[in-house]
Amino acid sequence: MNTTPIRHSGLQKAVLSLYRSFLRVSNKKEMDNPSSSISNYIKTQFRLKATTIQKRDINKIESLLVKGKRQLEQIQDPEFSGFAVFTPKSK
Amino acid sequence: MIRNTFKLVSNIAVRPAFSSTFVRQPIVASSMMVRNYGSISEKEITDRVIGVVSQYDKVSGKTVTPTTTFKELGLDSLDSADILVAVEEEFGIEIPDEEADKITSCAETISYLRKTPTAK
Repeated sequence: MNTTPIRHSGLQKAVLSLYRSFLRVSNKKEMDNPSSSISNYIKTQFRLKATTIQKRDINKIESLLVKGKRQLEQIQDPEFSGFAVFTPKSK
Repeated sequence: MIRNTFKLVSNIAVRPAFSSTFVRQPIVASSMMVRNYGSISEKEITDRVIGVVSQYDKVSGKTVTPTTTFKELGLDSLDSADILVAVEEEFGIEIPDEEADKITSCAETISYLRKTPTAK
């Protein structure tokens, strides 16, 4: 087969690795509790950020990576059951 | 006298442990590998990978062959990550990052699973 491998930057690899870890954890959570939709939230968040954040905005991506890693740790807590999302009211 | 008993004890204590690990381990490892390779054929891997890929939302309606690349199906890197996690669940394994980054097609997924004896 003649496929040229896609070259990802280190940052892209870090994001993809975080995404995979999120999916693994959320799938496990959903097995225990089928009513939760953690993976849906995770997928939409990654999609949203992939389209709204500029490729060159490395600072933003790095800060989101740090935030994501922290959230990943929180999700792994056995007490964790789902996200609650608050949006401030715009006047 | 004390040294002699120590020698005796250490001989008894050390030898059997050594010989048993030496003898037992290779046999266990090889028999496991044989069993795993035997239990899952290339055709079965191919069918199950194609099954997992075709179940993905964005792929529905498209024909998936063993040589289809994820790009041909209109999938980006996030979608491929999704599919690989689904494949991981299907086969009860965890694909390490450096391997997962390299996989961009059904064929590469299948060949990775072929060389992964823990896949079930």
